[in-house]
This record gives sequence, structure tokens and C-alpha cells, in this order.
Amino acid sequence: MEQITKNSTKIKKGTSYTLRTALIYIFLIIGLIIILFPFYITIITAFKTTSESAANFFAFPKSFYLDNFKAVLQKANYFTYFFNSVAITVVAVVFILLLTTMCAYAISRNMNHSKYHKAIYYYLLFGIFVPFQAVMVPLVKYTGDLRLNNQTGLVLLHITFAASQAIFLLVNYIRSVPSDLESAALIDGCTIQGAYWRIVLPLIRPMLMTILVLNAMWIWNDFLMSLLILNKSPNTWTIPLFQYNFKSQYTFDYNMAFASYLVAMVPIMIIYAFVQRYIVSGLTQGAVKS
Amino acid sequence: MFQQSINKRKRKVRKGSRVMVGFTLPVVILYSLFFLVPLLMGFYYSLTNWNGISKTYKIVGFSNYVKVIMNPRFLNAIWFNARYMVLLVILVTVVSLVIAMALNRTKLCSTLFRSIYFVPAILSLVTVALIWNELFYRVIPVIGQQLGIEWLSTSLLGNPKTAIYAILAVNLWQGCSIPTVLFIAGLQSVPMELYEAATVDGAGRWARFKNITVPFLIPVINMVIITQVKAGLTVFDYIKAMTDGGPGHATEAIGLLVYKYSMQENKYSQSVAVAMILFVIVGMISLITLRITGDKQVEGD
Amino acid sequence: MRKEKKFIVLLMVTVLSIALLGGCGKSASDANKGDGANSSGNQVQTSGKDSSEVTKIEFFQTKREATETMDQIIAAFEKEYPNIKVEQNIVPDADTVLMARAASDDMPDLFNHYPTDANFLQFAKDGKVKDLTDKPYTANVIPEYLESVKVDGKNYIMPFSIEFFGIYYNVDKFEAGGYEVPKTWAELVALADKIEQDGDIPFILSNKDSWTISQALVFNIETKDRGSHAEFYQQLLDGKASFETDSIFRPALEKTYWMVEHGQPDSISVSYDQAINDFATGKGVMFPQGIYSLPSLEAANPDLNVAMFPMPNDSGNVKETVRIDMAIAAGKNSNNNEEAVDTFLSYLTSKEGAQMFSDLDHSLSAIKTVEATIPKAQAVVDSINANRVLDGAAPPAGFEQAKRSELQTLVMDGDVDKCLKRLDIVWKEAVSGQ
Repeated sequence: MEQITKNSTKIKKGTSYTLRTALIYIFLIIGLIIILFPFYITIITAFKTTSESAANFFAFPKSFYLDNFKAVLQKANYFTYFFNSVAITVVAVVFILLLTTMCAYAISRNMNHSKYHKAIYYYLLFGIFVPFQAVMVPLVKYTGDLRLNNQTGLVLLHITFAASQAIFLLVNYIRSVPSDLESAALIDGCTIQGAYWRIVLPLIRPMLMTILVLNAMWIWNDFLMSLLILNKSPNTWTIPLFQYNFKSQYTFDYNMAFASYLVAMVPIMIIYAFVQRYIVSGLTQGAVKS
Repeated sequence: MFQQSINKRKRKVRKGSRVMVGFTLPVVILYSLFFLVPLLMGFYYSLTNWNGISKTYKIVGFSNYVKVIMNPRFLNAIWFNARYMVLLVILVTVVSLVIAMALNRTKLCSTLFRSIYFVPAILSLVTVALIWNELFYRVIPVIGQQLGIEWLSTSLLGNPKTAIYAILAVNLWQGCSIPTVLFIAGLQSVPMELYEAATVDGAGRWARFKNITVPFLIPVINMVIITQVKAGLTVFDYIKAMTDGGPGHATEAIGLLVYKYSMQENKYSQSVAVAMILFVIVGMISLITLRITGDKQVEGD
Repeated sequence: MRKEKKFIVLLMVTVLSIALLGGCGKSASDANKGDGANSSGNQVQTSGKDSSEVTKIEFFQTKREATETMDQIIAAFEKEYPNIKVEQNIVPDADTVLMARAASDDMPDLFNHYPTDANFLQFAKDGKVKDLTDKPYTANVIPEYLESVKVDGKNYIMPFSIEFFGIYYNVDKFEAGGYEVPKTWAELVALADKIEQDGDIPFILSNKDSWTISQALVFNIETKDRGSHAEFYQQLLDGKASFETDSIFRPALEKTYWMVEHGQPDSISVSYDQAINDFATGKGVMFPQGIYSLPSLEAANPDLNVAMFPMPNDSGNVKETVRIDMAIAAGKNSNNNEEAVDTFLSYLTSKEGAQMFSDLDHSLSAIKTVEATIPKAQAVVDSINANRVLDGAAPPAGFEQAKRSELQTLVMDGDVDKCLKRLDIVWKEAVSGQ
């Protein structure tokens, strides 16, 4: 990969355009192979029997052997985990969007003259510098004491740990949005709540999309926090936890393990296929322009 | 008169508004409850000899910190994270930028390329790590043997010298997707006229890249660096799922050390001490990065 | 006004979604009420009195190999006692979870653990588990085992199954190669040479998982000469012995490294699961491990023709050392279901329950009336019947973990001297850490 990169930058001005384009495509196709290779292995292995894999790991399956999938779905409550993941992600993201924008709006419109808001801004910003591992150990005991080591607790933690980054992004973004419109609305007798809901939120939609995408992906895939908070009972697991447990319980049968990887990936891949345009634009709109 | 009333109203809205304070409360309360309190608890426990479950414990001052710092495992973990972070930041930035520039040039099938290059980002780190774990054991050595490359012929995860690079490779496989998308957006924000003008002026490829592309990309580069610094210092999922710190202590990152000390080795108070040190390190490095990248941004503007 | 209404609507949506969230949390907790996970008081139920009421107890499984065996025993139990529902709870990183639950006083009703494990001893000392000393079912356990797991003279854990170690071998390959089961270490060395000459790998090892080095190799080899660790540990504590000067430990490490040299070339990158799969599907000839691996080997390949022979030593007179494998403790918590817990423990330690476990798990039993039949490990069982030694000694907290990493380093660099020195250091660290 490195070599190709070198080659493509080495090309002198005189080189023909087509050759350069061809090299770029070769480079990209090699990258594509590197990205797709693990998927290829995962899919073919999931459809093979152990002896088929032992004979030739790389070959295409002779027939579509479905017992691995049957076993995975039988041994684990897959649909419960899927539902848990969806519920946790949706609820947490809704609250993150709602609460952090409210907070960021208040901060950005007041931090120039209100000591409280300025202090709050730096107080919340401080969280960016604190790695989760620094609070993880006491947090486990603390949530346990509060009887919050369940899905509700996990959602509260997701909101908490998303706050710093979201506030940082939002405050900077909202400050770049002129406040004239709101002022006018306020003069017209609109309440602050109304101005926030009707004027500010639509204006900051690009950044909302960014925060939505970042957090939805993060929460859907979160492992460590779920491991610490939800690991008491399989009924509350999310998909990453199911994945990790399945692997530790059944990996001496790696065909089944690969089937479980595939099953864990499928929902998010389907969602991605439908909303990829929004994911990519959501990520970039707010992030790049701020 | 009219102006005055506007000002009055504005002031009223700004200063007197309880709503504006109320807006901040949910986040502030949650953050205080689930972030600040555990952080303070952690600091307090780091000064005790508590084992995590007993009913009684003593305050022992900073002796946990001394124990931690004197332990070669801790220094080993710091060294691991330092190398990992530096390599991750450099490689993610360079690789994603190169891919972004290449993708930005393509017209044929460009949407397809872009959507596939983004796929790793949507997967869970654990799933990715578990798949690569099998690949490192069952697939890559076979390829290495076929190609006759000796260092590839055994599992990279099994060799204490190469395990870090194996983890890094997996991290790159997945971690370049989002930066690539950001870089593409950054590249598209560069006005084409500037390139054309520079070409007319006789600027070479490199000069154009350096003087036009890079300044426009500075905000994205900053963002990528800041996120990767933190990712490198707090790497956990990949290691937990692939090596669990092994072989020996070769891939024992600080985050994993905190986890092992507290959950597996009955060193609860030492684990919170490590966590506090990690907090200070991440805080300092983030501040320095912000300062440096902030300066650059001013220059760039 | 209209805008205000909108805001109110927004607030209501918020409240509603909180309620919804609470709702979904609740429904999940209803579903797993019985495992004690949501240990709010709403589970308070009395057993037996009202036949329509079902008491639930949580069995927290820390030994994943035993999951399916326990499922079957639980099914048999529930048939006999329809008023009690036992829910087996299996989670990843069970030890970690148990520590976290202990910290927040939320221990499971029942869990299995290891009597010499530092975490378990901590639970016992800090009052996280029930004192079972006076329970009638303790009489079902072989007294020697019961005695060996006492903490401060009390029984906090019930020994249940007994583990032993040896070397699994691929019977088909032994027959095809004309190999014989070695009686002494020298014969094992000769056998390994012969296998290598025939172009096969003598040993399948799983050195990526450092616990396997500690148990299946070092403990397996060392105890054939040492027997119980009790005396050695005491001497270490008194400063009268060290790993460096000990006459048994050095050769044990040298033999361990010899095995590594005759294992797969990249054994350091092989995990336990991968090794199980590899050996079961015909890679290598021998697999040094504990008896607990047999169900997994059979699951990985039901057609595998496997047997186990005892790990030999130099003289051929081995001390066939066994340890308590699975033992069961009852956590202290606020679930009011002690009667049901006792009923289940009585059943588990009864002839019926324990025999069933032994048959399915292929392990020896700590229960008096059970007769273990393990045809695939008959040679080792015979050796145990002739020269049995029980090792119930516990090293200081944290030592076993630290030791495993040192042994893994030995596997990589083969430096026995350095490893012995490091073991002395980590022992002292563990002692001073207490």
C-alpha cells in the first residue's frame, strides 16, 4: 500500500493523465480488497462446516450450510439483544440531541455576559480530557449502589459521556449562527423556548446530524460501558455483548463463531445501506464547516 | 424610545432568564452525578487501601501512586501507549488523507468506492477485533508462507515485538474511515480556481498541495489529530478482544491495566491511582495538542 | 402562546420517553427477576408454602464449560421441585462481574468458584458469602475436601467436582505410529522425538492463554513430584524457600520449556479455544490439559478418538495431584429465598445430582456416594486411586495472575533463571500487597 502511495506521488508532471488515473484506481482497488477481505472470509466460513474449513479455509463453500446460523440463533436470544441495542441507541440519542442542544444554546447565547454559563461551559468541556477508564472503576460501584446497573443507567451514562463533545461542537457552531433572527422573534413576543425550538434548532440542523451520527454509531457499538453496566444478566445485553460472550463460549467451533460475527453485523449493514447518504453528509456537514 | 425597549427586553431575556439556566440543568446534573462524583470518588479511593469490596479501609496517602510508579508494568504500559498514540495519529492522518485524495479524483464508481471505504466505521470494535483475531491466526500466516515472507508466517499477535503493529493495523483498518470522509469534505471545500491560478503561476504538484490543499484542510487535520490522540491513549476494546495484554505484558495498555488491576488482581486502590495518572496524562497531552493545533489554525487562516 | 404549547408538547414527549425507557427497563427486569439481577425487594417470596408460587434462584455460572451440564441438572431438579425455578446466568468475564456485584452488595444466590482463588477468599473474609458450616448437606461431601476449603474454620463453599491433569492423546495416531503411552519422562522425550521424526507435532499447546501454561504445563508437571503446595508456600512465607533455590520448580520450568520447543512453532499465538479446535480436528498428537477440557474436545469433534494418560515424571512414581475444580458458594443478598437455595444445594450434592454432573462433565466428584466413570481417562483415574494427593493450598492474592505473565514470558524467551528470579519478586509483591 505504501509503495503505491509513493508511486502516485512520484509521478512527474509530464506523466499522462490516464496513467495517473489508472494508478489511482489500482491503489483504491488494493484498498478495497484489504477492506473486503475480512468480510469475504467471514461470509464463506460462516457457511461452511468445520471439516470443510479444515480442508481449505479460503475456498468457497460447496453448499450453503445453514446450521451454524441456526445454532447461533438457537443458543442466544438474538432478537432480544437486537431490540435492547435499538432501544438503548434510540432513547440515548434522542436525549443527547435534546439535552445537549438546550444546554449548548443557553451557553453560547449567554457565555459572554453570564459567569454561570461561562463556568458551566468550561466545567463541561473538562470532560473531553478525561478518559472513560479514569472514572470506570468507581462508576461500576456507584451505579451498582444506585441500582442503576441496568439499561436505564446505561442510557444516563451515554448521555453523560456524550455531553462534553456535543457541547463543544454545538457551542462553537451556534456561536457562528447570527442571533438576529432569534432577537427578532423574541421582540415579537416569542418565548426563549419557542425561539430555541422554532429558530435555533432548524439553523443548527447540520451539526445535529453530525452529533446524531457520531453518537448513534458510538452507542450502537459500545462495548466497555455495556460490559461494565449490563453484564449482570443476558436479558439486558446489547449486540456487542452477545458477540463477545458468544465468542468466549463457543469459539472452539470457529465456523459458528464466524456465523455469529455475521449475524452481529447484518442489522447495521442493512441500516447503512439505506441511510449511508445521510451518515456521510451528517458526519461532514457539521464537522467540517465549524 | 423603541430602541431602548428592545435593549431592555434583550437584557431581560439575557440576564434575568431562569429559562437559560434551566436549559443547562439536565446536562449539568447528569454530568455532575455520573462524571464528577465518580472522578472524585476515584481520587479518594486512590488514597486508601480499599480492595473494592471490604467494609473497612484506611487512608494511606499517596503510597498507591508510589507503588504504581515503581512497578515496571506501569512504565511498560506508558511506553506502549506512547508508541501506539504517536503511530496511530501519524498513520491515521496520512493514510486517510491519501485515500481521500485518491477518492476525490475518481469519477467512475466513486459512490461505490466511498460507501465501501466507509463500511468499517459502522462495525463494532469488538466484532472487528474478533474477526481479525481469527485472521491473524488462521489466514495471514498462510498468506505469509505462500509469499515466503518470514515475519508474516506466524501470527503477528503472538510475537511481543509485532503484536502492537498487528493491533495498530486493525485499528487503522477501521479507524481511517471517518477521517477519510472528513478529508474528502475538506478537499471539496477547496476552490478549484486556486489550483488553476497556481498552475498558471507554475506551482508544482507539491507546492500546490502544501500551499493550497493543506491550509484548507487544517481544521479537519486538527480534528483528526485530537480524536486520534485520545483514541490512542485510551485504546481498550481491540486489545481486550485480541491479546488481553499479552504476550507477556507486550500489549498491556494503561486502560487495560486499570481494568486488570481492579477486576482481576485485587489491586483496587492501585487501579484507581493508575486511572488518575492516566487522566492527568490525557489531560496534559490534549491541552498541548489543542494549543499546537490551535496555533496552526491561526497561521492557516 | 402557540410556541409555548409546542414546548410543552416537547416536554411531554420527553416525559413520555422517560416513562417508556423506565417501562422497557422494567419489562426486562421482570423477565429476569429470578436471577436476582434486579435485586429489588419485589422478589420476596416464600417457597413451598403455596404450591402455586414459584421461587426463583439465580445460579451464576463462572465456569463456562459446565454450562450445558448444569442446564441438564437444573432441568431434572425443576421437574422434581416445580416450585423452584433455577436460572443459570452466564456472562462474559464472569470474575469481573462477580467482583463488581460484590462491591455493590448484589451477590448472586448461588455461584461456582474456586476455593483457593484470591477473589473467593476475599468474599469469604468480607462477609459476601453465606456460612454453610452447619448445613445438613455438608455431610454429603467427602470430609477431606470439606476440611481443605475451610476459611477460619468455616465452610463458605461446597467442593463439588475434582479436577486432575494429564496428557490427552490422539488414539488413532498412537495406533498408526505404533507409539506407546510413556511411563517416565525419559520415555516421553523419546516419544516426542519419534513423533517429530514421523513429521508430526508432538504437543498442541495454547500459550496465548497464560492460565493454560500455569495449569496444564507447570502445575501438571511440578505436582507430580511435589504433591500439595501447602508446605512450599509456608516455607516461602517464612523465607525458608525460594523459587530460585527450590529443587522441584527449576526442573519443572525446564520441562515446560522443553514441551514448548516440541509444540507448534507459534504456540504463543494459539488460544485455548483454537488449540481445542486444532487438536480435535487432528492437528498434533498430544495435548496436555485438565480433565475439564474433555467436554469441549468432544463438542468440537464428536468423532475424535481421544484418551488421557498421566503426566510422567523422572522416576515413574508420581504424586497424582488433584484439586477442587468447581465448588459452590451462596452469596449474601436481600433475596428472601434461602430455603429454595438450600433445597437446590441439597439436590446438587445428593447422589442423584452429583452423579449426573460427574457423568456429563467427566469429572471426579467431591460427593461421597458418586462413582465417577471416565473411560477416556481411565489410566489417570487408576493412578489417582493409587497415589492421590489433594492440593488445597492458596497462594497470596494476585500471585497467580502475576505468575501467569511471568510463565508466558518464559515460554517466549526460555530463560528459566530469569523466570525463577521474577517469580520470587512477584511472590514478595503479592505478600506485601495483602
